[in-house]
Amino acid sequence: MERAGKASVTHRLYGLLEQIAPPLVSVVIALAISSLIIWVVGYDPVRAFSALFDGAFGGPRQIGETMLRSTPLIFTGLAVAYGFRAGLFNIGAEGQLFMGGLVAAWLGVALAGLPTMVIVPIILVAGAAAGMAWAFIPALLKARVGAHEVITTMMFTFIARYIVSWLVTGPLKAPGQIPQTVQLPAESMLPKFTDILPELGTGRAHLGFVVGIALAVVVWWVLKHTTLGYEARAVGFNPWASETGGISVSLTTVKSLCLSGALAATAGVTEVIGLHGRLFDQFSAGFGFTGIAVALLARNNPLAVIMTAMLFGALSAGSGTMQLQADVPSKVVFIIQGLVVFLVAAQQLAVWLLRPFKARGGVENA
Amino acid sequence: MDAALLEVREVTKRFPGVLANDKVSMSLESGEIVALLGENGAGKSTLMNVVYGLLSPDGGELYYEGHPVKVRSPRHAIDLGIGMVHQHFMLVEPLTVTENIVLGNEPTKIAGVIDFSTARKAVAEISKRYGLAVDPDAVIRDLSVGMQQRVEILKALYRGAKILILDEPTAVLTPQEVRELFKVVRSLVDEGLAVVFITHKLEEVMAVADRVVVMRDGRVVGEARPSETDMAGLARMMVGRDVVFRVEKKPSVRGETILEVDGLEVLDERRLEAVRGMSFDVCAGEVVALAGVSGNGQTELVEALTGLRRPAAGSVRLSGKDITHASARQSIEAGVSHVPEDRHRRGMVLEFDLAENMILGDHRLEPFSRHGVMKPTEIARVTEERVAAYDVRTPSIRVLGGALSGGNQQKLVLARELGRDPKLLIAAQPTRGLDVGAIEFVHQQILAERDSGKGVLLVSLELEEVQGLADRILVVYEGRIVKEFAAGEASDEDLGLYMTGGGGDKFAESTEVSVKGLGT
Amino acid sequence: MDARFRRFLALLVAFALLATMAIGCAGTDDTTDDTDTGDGAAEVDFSVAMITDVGGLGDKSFNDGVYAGLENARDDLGVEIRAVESNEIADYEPNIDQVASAGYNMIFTVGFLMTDTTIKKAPEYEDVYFVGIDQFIEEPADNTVGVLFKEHEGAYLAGVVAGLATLDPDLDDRINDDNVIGFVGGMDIPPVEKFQAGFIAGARSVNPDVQVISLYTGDFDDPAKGKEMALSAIDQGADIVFAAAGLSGAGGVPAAQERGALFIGVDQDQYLTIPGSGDVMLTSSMKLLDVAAYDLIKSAVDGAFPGGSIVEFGLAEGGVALAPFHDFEDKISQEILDAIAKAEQDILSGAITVPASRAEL
Repeated sequence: MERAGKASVTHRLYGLLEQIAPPLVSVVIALAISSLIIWVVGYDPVRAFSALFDGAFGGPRQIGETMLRSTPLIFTGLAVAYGFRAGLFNIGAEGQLFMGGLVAAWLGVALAGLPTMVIVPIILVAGAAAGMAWAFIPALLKARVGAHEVITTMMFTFIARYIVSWLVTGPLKAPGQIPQTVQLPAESMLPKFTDILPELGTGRAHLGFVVGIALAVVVWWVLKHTTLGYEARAVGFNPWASETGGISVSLTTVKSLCLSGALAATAGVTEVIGLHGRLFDQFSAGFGFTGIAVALLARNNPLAVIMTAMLFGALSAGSGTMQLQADVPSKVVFIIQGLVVFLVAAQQLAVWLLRPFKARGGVENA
Repeated sequence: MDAALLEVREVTKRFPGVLANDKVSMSLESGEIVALLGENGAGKSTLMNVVYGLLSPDGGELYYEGHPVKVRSPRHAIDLGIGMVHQHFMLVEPLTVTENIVLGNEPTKIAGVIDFSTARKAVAEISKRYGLAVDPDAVIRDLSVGMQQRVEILKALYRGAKILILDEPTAVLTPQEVRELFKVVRSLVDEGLAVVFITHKLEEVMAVADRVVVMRDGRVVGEARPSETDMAGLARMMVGRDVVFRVEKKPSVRGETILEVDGLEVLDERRLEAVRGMSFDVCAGEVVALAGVSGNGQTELVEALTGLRRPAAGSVRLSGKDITHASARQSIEAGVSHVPEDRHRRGMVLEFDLAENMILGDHRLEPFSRHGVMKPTEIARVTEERVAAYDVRTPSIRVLGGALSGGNQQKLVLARELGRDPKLLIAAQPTRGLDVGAIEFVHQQILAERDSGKGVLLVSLELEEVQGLADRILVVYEGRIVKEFAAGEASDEDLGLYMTGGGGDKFAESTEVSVKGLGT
Repeated sequence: MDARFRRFLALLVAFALLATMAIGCAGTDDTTDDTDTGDGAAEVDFSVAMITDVGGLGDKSFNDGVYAGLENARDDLGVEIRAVESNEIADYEPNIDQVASAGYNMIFTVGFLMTDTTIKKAPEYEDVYFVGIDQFIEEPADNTVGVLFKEHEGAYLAGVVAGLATLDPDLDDRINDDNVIGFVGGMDIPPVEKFQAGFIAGARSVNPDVQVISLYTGDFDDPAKGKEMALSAIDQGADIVFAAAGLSGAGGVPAAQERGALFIGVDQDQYLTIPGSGDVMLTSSMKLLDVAAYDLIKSAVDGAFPGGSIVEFGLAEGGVALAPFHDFEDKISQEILDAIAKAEQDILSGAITVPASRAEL
């Protein structure tokens, strides 16, 4: 037993390293190539990256800004990662996010007057439920008739965006020139860290970040320690064996996509009740789609999602400073993001390309 | 003629963590069949992949007709006169036999137009010369597996092979087809070819080989002529210890009826009737074997019995309880354990570790979980216990299922399915692809299960297995049970005959009449 | 060997692809921010920054328009200027914080999406002037000006042109017999509605029976959709299409070219900003953001910043205007020129109040 335990510890350590190393290498290479590009185009990469870093981590306000930008990405990253673990590609996280935002904007007004401690949890749960409902129809289509979720969830994203677009220009529009809903009352808002401890100086960062981290741990625990997560992973890896083991593949698909939708919707909720205080057409900067990159980079590990979301959040937070201090256009961060994603994908491509070499070693075991 | 046609000298091949070939030497002469015998993982295929240019060796040399050669690629091997037929055929299904044979080596007219008449003639000529009758215009996907294999052999011959390497050629064939193959191989060597026959089946070695080279753990451990040795001797060399072939079987003590199948009809994916009205039962304390050639409804039957497929008609009862329309989960909970025919697809999740695989199907139940929360310590404890009890060789229960050898994977599946203490065990081709040692273990476990009063339904393509384990044998053909034998009643030939639709009119009626209860 | 080489090649290609992609991206990336001050003008110790909305510089619309005003101010007044681009809405606040704490004297926030941010941030930096372009700010702080445009006044003139031109087959052989013109809007929001109302009113003032087909794309950044809408209007008989839909509207140019119709641009003189549009570009209904920006910078430098108010730029203030006819200069009839002159006069004199919404039509 003792030896087995030891072996399993080294095994785990090795496994962890094996998981962490490739994305890390991708990030480093992406930064290197970006430096090269910045240099070739005629800027100073050292200044650029030190400014970027400064803008993301240079002080409490900057760290707060990074936290703020990471928050929606943690939720969408978790949503996509959970889907992937169950063998589903929830490309429609953006749509579920919109529905979460919509419910938050509505309830934030409807429940005005109640204490924050009551309103905010209700909004969080109701928003998640809305995302769940929004994912339910694609999930059902997948389970019943095999309609591919990439198509259906994407369609539902368009529908969600148009619904929100219509509501904020029409029925839910606040008085005035701008197509947006009314400003939520203070009691409907998720408190900022500085609301609780002003000396933190973390600027706009709000408790949504804590909710995100908590949910990441919960998702990790669900995947690892519950039958729900076990069945999701089993179906994701091998639906046939799962079926043989008495797991209903269609039910698991529905549950998993709905859960993914709930997570994605939470991003919309926290953007509305944490940051903007209202809903408008462009309240999401494509967080549902960035979530795919966040999940990929985290290799669908919920705890790693926190880290990768913060990486993307830091890039977003630091871009302004980079622009101002190093004169590098802020759009450069998109290049870095793109390169990171590309390299992670390329790495999977490389693994795939190299597979025949490895496989041949296993011919005898076939 | 002093130099051997092919000589392998001290070839070494390493894979990460494995020494697949350790200074392996062997030789091959024209006009002989050499069997390369060894358990799975012994290094047979690796060695032949080196010879065929698929792998480059880390050490050692190859001599072809006395000259040292470095085989750079399969193309190079073919140019040298070395052909290989893999376990998985490399044929283009929508094309004809002729097209497949000449593919990559097409005789062309001017401007690169393929000269099909010349090609057809050449193919017909070769097929006549070696006694390999094939319709040159047949489309590959319409051919039986045996025929497809023939096309593969013809392809090698068409390209001028002097050496033909056959990698586990009998794994996919019926007994009749195997005999046919042996005839073909014999005629090939009569024509002066040399054949390397990779196998782990002793009886094939005895039947066809002129010489046998035995490998174990990447080394050549012995060489013999079948005429001068026996199966036990070869098995000892191969496994490194004595092997019991026929498992000692206590007489069956039959108890109450466990499984009753009545008029069962099942459709396959194409909505065609795969099981056409089967009726039989399985009692406690007996092994009922379903013998038949692959594709005669066994897969669909097993899926229907285990809740994976809805029967179109008929009923299934387990200990008197109707489970005709039970889901897989209900089926498991009712007491049906299932060792699926395709381990990798249905039997286990390769990406799960051993512990996670061990609870598949029982994961919702105590002690593995309560109220949806898993209990890792209990899971680990039970897994450790079963891994020890079923002799699953693994460094840790945290190793992924996919990292185990085939034999250990099957032991894992057995440990899980038997560990839950079922009423009925349905084992579909439980020893497929396993080596002698693992087969022996699986057989022992199946019999132990029978002896402890469980019902066992064994589905197998291996006659030896059927004969060795079964108390009753049901022969299936085209979705029907065409014959029932009691243990020891039928010869392999009898079984083979019924399995392939022979057996004549005598049993035409018995397909209609229920054979249920014939053995009682 | 062979297979191995092929795989190596595949990796190589993948890498080459990556490299070209990266360099390609870099190419699009030289929208540099100037920090230089004008050389000709006298130096003034005054610095102006603008925060773009997510469209960024190069939008050929209001971000570029405001920046042009900043450049003029730099050249004429010698102020220091700086543009800071926003990648996403969350950037607005920190970008304002950054330039405000970097000591800029005046900050332009561009686009109605930044209204909230301007209202929130301006009081935090009392000694900085804030200008919210296209922002309706109720009760602006003392250091803040909300800038609005009377788009409907410019659109009215465009309507006059279109209303007469569709009856004038001598103008161009693409003018058909139907008395129909088209309007393509972006989102159905007040500034766009102003364009629509002004355009319709102008057209009807000279051609009471004209039918105006109005369509909305629902966004500002999808030229394909703009083209679709324009085609639809043209197919229903419109021979002149006015598009007030940002980048989406630009899709109306190829639509007009394909179906043989004329086009009226928006915001800027689109004859200049949409290359190759000359053959269909009759004129444009311009919003002179540069004039507005320049004027406000000048007033601030002169110590006359109209803080605490909303400043409207209409025809009288030089904030909206009709662009030159360019390629159609020689073909435009005197009747049309006279009608434009009369309309301008009437608006300036107050004889006409141009409707700013559909309800007022």
